[in-house]
Amino acid sequence: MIWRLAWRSVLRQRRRTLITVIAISLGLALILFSVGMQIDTHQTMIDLGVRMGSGHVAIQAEGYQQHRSLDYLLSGSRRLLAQLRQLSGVRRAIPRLEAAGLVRAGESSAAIAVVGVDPSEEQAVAGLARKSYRRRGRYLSADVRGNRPADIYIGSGLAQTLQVGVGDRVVLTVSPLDDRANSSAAFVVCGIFRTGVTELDSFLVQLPLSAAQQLLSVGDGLTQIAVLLEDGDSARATAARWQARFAAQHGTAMRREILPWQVTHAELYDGLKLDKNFNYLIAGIIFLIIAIGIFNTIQMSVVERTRQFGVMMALGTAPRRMFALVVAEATLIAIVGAIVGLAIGLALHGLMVRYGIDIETMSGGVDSYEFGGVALTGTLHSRLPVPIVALWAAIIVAITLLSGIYPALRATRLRPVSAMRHS
Amino acid sequence: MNVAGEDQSSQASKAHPDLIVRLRGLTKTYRQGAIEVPAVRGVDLDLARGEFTVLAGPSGSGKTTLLNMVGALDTPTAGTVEVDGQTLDQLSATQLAQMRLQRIGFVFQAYNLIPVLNAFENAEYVMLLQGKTAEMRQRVVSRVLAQVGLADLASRRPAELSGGQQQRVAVARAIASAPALVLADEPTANLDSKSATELIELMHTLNRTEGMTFLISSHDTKIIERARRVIWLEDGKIVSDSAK
Amino acid sequence: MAQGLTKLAWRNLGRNRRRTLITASALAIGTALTIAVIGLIDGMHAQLIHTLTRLDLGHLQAHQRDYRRTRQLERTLPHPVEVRRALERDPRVVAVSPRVHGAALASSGRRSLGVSLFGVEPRSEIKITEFHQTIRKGRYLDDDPTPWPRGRALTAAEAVDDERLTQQAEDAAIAEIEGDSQSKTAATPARQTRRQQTQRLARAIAPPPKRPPRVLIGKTLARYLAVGIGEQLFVSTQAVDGTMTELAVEVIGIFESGTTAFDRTRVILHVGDLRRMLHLDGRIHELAAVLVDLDRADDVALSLAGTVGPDVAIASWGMIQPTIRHVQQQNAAGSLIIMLVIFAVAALGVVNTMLMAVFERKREIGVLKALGMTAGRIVRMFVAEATLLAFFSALAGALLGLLLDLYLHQHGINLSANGKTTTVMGIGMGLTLRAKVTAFGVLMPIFVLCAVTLLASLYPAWRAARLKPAQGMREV
Repeated sequence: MIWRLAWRSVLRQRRRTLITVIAISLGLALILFSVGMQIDTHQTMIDLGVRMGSGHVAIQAEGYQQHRSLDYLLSGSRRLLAQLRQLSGVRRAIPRLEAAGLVRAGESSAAIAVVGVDPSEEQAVAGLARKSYRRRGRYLSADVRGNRPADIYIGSGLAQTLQVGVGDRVVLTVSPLDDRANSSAAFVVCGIFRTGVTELDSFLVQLPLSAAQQLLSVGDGLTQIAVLLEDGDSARATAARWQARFAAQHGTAMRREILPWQVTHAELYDGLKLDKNFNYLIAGIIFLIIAIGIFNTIQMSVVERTRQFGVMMALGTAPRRMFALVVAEATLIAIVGAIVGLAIGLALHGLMVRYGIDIETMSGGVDSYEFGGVALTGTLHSRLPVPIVALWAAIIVAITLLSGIYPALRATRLRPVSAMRHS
Repeated sequence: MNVAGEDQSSQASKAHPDLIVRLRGLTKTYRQGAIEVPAVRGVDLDLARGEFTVLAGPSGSGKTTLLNMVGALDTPTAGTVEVDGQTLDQLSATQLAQMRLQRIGFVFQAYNLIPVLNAFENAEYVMLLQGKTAEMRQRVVSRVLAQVGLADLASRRPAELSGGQQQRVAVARAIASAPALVLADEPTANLDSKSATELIELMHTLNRTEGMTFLISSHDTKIIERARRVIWLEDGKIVSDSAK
Repeated sequence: MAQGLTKLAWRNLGRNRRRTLITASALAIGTALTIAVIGLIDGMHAQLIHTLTRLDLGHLQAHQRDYRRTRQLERTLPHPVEVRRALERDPRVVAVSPRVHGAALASSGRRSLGVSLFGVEPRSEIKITEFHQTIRKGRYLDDDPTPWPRGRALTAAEAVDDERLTQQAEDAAIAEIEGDSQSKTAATPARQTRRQQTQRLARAIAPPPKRPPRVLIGKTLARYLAVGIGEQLFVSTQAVDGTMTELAVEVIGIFESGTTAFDRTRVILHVGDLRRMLHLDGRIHELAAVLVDLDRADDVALSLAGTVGPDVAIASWGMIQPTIRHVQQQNAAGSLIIMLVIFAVAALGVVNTMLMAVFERKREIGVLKALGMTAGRIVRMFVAEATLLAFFSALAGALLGLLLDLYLHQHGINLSANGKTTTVMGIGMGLTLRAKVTAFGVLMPIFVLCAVTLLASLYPAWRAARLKPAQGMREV
């Protein structure tokens, strides 16, 4: 009976209900739209970041993260790579050897980070090697052809500083592991990339792993194995599990650090968190305003019906029923609002999935947007996991119900005699 | 609730088995700012089952206040109210609601139907609260609507009914729950004389055929003339109590 | 009449005080929170611009025309003295400081890292950037450069030696590149001797300093290289003439700027020292200036550009780092959308309230119409009511928003909990956001709120005006 009464009361105030429903659904649709876009943006950035950087989980010799020196080399890397690739949940295991160096061409030089990579692996991973980043030339080739200098893949900023193009030679100077004198070797620029991240475009070069290992005299040493997981969300748990398993197997004899991307890409992680929380802040504000609006509406509808409520109480309706009636009305409005909001929000989501928004259009001419060390390029889409949609719909319903509680309590406190005198 | 309520009434009614209303020293004082305005002053009154009583008196004599206290809508400043053997002192809001629901039927001056419900549903409302079965509600409401002559208009909403028709729905609502006592506060005040006469007839018929107890406040001479017992109230006191 | 209308509107609002208050509080809270959000966004921009200008660029820079594009050592600023004087003479310029940039490989023990060398004039640089305020350990640079003897011309015999060594080195380099590309230059004894001889000659031309030049380095670099105050680093860099220089420098200060890139790669030293290392003599790459008003940097840059000749490029921070403007524009668009949504929702509340007021007063409106009040006047009456409501709500909201802003300015809000910094468009940014109060950021929401509310009141007002006198009076 309460539901029937509530439903009719809600329908009787058609205009007011409509306005409230619009407010609720507008809020929900907007939140879903921005959350969907945010999740997609964040996932894309994390994906790009870990592909170019240290993977979902990075395996390093203990101390490397802190000191970044060749003193902390991963030993037995070949076996480790093979083992990792056998593990379920591991999509790719990527060997990397990173060192600092100075690159020269003619009279220009630049200090850079040198990364030795497995070219075929990198192409499969599609990090820095991805085609959309390539401005000129081709990616590294794995085969070292006799005495010819090996390939080097450099960024557009560095190419400009050194005034070099594809096919030009550059000389790389590094401090190798075996002696204190610097060692130099010539390389040929095979291709030039541009990611939009200055740190990479001006300060990073890639070489074939074997050439880098030889230049640095590290044998088959690596500084890092970056692991891409099937499920990126499990990075923390996986890193912790592996660390525990490794410690159990090797004790203190060999120490490794197994770190999730949240640690190796702390800047990205913190930046995304900032962005996410800023969005929550705004969602909170919007919801607060909606809540006040709903509160106002329900409050008005109660005040307006003071007389009717007085009669109902005079006829013997118990206070808790009066309460239930008002809450039921709020629930109906909330559910209708949530359904309409879901429909609009999901339609927007569908449009975003299908068409997306081009970054260049959105940011007025910049083709990439750097944040937390990752440049976002191309088109932004939307991603909305069902639990997230359900969560926000539930939140808006809950907020509506909460907004109804005070007016409902007021309804129970009416005195029938004075309420019936109300006009 | 229902069962418990009946239990209480059967227990309590041992004291005064034939009395439906028993008032002793009933007093109500309103405060208007710093001034205390007495509305009812020390009223003693007994009503037997099956009576048709009119509470008469000029405006402001305390009729409505007295009726409200009998109807468990208002609490006295002093004195006791016993309805159907149940003392109303110190009952909570929920218990008072329960009391009204189970024992008392109301007819108000301004009809006071629930606008979103149609005639049938309005008449059914109290029975619904009482938790009566659908089958029983259907049966009883059809009967009482027929009794008040509105069988054909059962599906109309209050806004689609005339004042007289609305007040008859209110009577139907009041009697559908089979209350021990029906209270009516100036029921004819907003009606034209034809509708008023019809309503009075209806209440008398119900009193006669169903044995339903009525306590009606009014200064309508048509009602006063036909009443079997008339209690005159002036300045919150009973000035005469005459039975025919 | 206008005054009468306002009075009537005011009284009408007072009739249902609770409802007016609830609606007003929704509007006020909406305004306050919008102001706070705009304050935070403006604060973020201010922080980004501050980091960009006061830890790196300054407000304005002068370079050789192609330097910014190529960042090549030899593209030094033409007529540095004249350009500096031109900048300093301008009343809009507060301070000017010369700079030299270089790249090097810094090593300590077996650790090495690519670094950028940042040569500054210590005394004037503190007016441009705030690195000196971020020193966590040790001290700032000395005013004077390291004592460093001048080189002398080679004797005839030495010149012959030089020619021979150069020839040999060239042969070796060609062999290295053409032949065994992966070989190292260290090992063989012949090479060793040649190297020593070369170094002796080089010392004659360019003798080493009396003591290691003093440098400031970032906290992260200090950690990676495991060096502390008073300890030495080896810096190898290529001078402008192509020669490689290796030099020991002494760390006298460690700074923590909060921008990851600076803390990891920047080595700051006296401009005179870096010039000697890079064989740049009296040349510099850059003049950085701080202006009275950083928002007018573009105008200043454009007006100065004409006075310094075609070889010199003068650019404001906004021209050098245009991306920050895009971030700003994008966020401005974002906050406008947020504001509109917040106010749209709030406006729905206003529509609701006003509609209620109209229906409540149907009878009264009927009477007014019967008495001859025109539809236009009724519309104005309701619009006046809404305007009054909006205006006072906005005022209260602005006050609350200002307080929020001031609190967020004082205490900041860390929305990321654990970390300290991130980067936006390559610029380091603290994760603790601090609000910045601007007149625009406060007045804009007030204006938008009033406009939106006014629009929102039109529908209820129109409905009121459309009531027929008789119809209004019949309703109870």
